[in-house]
Amino acid sequence: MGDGDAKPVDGEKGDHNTMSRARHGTASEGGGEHLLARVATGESAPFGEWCARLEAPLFTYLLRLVGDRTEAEDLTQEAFLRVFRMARERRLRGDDASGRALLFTIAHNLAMDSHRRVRNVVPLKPSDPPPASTAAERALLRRELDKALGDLPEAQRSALMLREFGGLSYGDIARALDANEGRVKTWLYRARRKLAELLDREGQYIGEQHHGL
Amino acid sequence: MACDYERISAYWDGALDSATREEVEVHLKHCEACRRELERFKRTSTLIGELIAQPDVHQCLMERIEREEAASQRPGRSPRSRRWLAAAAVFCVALAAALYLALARPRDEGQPVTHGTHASGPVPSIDEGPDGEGEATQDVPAVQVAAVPGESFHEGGAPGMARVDELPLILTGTTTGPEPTAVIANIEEDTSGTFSTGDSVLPGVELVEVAADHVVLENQGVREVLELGGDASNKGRPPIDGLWKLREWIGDRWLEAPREITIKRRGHRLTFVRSKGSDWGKAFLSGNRVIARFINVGEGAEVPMEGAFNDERTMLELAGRMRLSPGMEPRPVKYEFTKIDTGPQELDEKMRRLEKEVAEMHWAILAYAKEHCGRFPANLDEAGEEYERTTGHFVDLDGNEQVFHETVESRHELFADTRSRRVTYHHPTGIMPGTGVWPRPWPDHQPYSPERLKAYESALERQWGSKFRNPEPLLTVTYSDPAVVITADVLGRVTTAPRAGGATGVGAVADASSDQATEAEDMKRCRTNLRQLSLSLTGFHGSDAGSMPPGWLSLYDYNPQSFFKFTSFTCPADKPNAISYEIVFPAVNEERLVEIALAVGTAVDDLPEEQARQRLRLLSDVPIVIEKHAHPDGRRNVLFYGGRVESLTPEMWAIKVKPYLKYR
Repeated sequence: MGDGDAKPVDGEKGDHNTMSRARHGTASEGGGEHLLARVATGESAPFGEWCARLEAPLFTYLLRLVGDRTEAEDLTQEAFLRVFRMARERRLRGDDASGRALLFTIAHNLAMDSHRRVRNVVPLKPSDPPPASTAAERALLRRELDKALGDLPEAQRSALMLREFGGLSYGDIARALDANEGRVKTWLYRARRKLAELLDREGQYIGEQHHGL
Repeated sequence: MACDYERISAYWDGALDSATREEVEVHLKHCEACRRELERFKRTSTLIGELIAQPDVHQCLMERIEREEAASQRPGRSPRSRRWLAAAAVFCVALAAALYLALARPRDEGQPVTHGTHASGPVPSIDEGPDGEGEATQDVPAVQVAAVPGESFHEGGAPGMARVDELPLILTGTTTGPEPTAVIANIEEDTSGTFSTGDSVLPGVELVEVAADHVVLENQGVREVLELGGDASNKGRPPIDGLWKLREWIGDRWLEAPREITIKRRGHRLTFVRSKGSDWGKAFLSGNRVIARFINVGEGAEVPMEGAFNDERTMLELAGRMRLSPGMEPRPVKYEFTKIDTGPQELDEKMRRLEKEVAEMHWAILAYAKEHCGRFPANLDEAGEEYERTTGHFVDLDGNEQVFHETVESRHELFADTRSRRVTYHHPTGIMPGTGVWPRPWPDHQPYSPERLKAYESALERQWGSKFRNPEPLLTVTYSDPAVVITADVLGRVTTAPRAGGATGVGAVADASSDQATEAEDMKRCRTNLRQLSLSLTGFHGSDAGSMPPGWLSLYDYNPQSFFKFTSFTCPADKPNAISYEIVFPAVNEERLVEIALAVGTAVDDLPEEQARQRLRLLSDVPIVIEKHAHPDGRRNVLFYGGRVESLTPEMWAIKVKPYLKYR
């Protein structure tokens, strides 16, 4: 693996005059920062930085796959450790973005393998500390969304979360879920559609209120 | 552009190429509905983004990484850093404190200490540094999580540490006489030894007296009795070996989905194997008592558990304490194993194993014959030469396919008689089928020709065609348990028959297929045959020959080794060993098949001339293999080029097959 052979995974990067958004994380990963590449050279501090960025999204993703905080935390660590090992053994190719895709793919597979995987996920337990809310309605809406997310078919849910939490490109999602990009596109659309309908129903006024966030 | 919300979704993800994106942007300017849709997607994303939860893993993860880092920079057991020494010093203090506690509260709070000098498990109440735990992982992997009071069996020589029944010892036998000895197994070290009085069994534990059913050990000045380990044998009880259902209690709840675990027993030893085949734990069996250690995946360490079988040995309960994730307090964990009743299934599995064994013998003889111009070995000793077989393949990290080859040095063992089997070899004469002695008709990129293929087929016919129609037996293996006779013929077809006077149970199982087979079942198996044949045909067709095989001999010869593992030429409703199927267009290539398909299709349906797209569809309807005789209900199974297998009534036969037959 060469440290400089980062392949561009985000085809849309660098297009400015567009309404479509930048990916999660691309902003911070832009500028050719190769945290993972530095791990191979023996530094572990950059990996910490990388972890800190991705812990929460990854954990959230896993939490919704396995439904159990402890288990999700476990798997989060395991996934990071595996990527770390690969990075250290110079088995990683590409830049941080493809590292991120790999991380989510590994995590996804771990969750699928996990014997504690709960079939058909699982609204989160009420004992979970509610995330800090800005407004009561919004928290309510979030809970509805949470539930609706749990009701989505597995593939759609995974695809949407890989996209929203992981910021993975369509190609990466397709690889993680072992599907083709066309299906990923459809899954994402259907998932969004369903959630959007919910939001229309439940939170019209809240949505309006926060329009343009 | 029409409204395409899916595209809007992809646009929002930035997953469109620039041309499409521009198109969408132009469309968005004019289309209110799509703009609204985009807004909805944005809103959803924003809200989902708010669902992100904060895990509590960073610290712990960093520590683990640091530890890995340390481990990788210190291969093997090199001298310790000063930091470790400091940690060790802390440990000694901790250990002293722990010992004090242990002495004050003899049973419940006993702290683990390993043999020798290493302090092992971290003491939960002490805030040990990452190095301390890393050390434990490096040196004494077995005891890393063993730090749970009262649950460990890793005791050693420290005074007053453990009672005899907490020591990792099982007395498996004694001899009395002038020099009485005791056979004592150390389950911790996985060793067993014979000791006389005065010997030291463990550091600080001495054997002082041997009686018929017990020994007396002096454990740091205290004499205690170790009784003869319970009988691990399983007489009169269902076998422990086999599948068990596992339910897990993890401190506050039962895990919903039970798992299946295979337990294997070898004497006192049990191994727990996960469904994927990886070892997950091991245990010692003494009477019904079980002392086990399981790999805790999350922690990368082993967890001790203890428990017992019920008297029938159909249930096993184990309890211990385990950290469900690193950094958490250990929680009580319970494993409850229930025997899955698999009587006939187990027998079935065993039968399959034996049949495979015999198939392997055929394989080895075939390999011999290939090396000796098709000649059969004179006897099994002669077959005892090196051969290579493929055992598996995998895809490596670079995406290349890798194949394992296993070279088996000697076949003598493969053919040897044992207590449970007797192998008889019937030395057939002539050439062994499938040895490729005859030069194949498509060796050096020669153009395909039906004539050559047909010549090849007739050459094979002369060589061993009679063997194909009336296969001679090659090997007969008589097994004692279960009492069966398994025969392999020269083609590698393996048949099983109950042994005369053998156990009725097995006989019933072996007979069931023929006695109870209904017509429907015959039909089903016949269809399966055709489906499997289609795979072999595809292989042949995809080879250099690029055509239908000229006959069954060529097809068999093309890949003899695994042919009968999957395929049979005989419909179960037909006579035994009969060749029930027929290739409709032997040695015909695809071009010709298309011509035939067009001819028939045009005649029947008057299809249009523009055939390019029709070609495949037409081809897929061409019958490739047909059954010679009809089943009792008048139907015949047919394999079509498209891979379908259909059971055709005479009426359908007239429509779907007959028109093609005149082109043969």
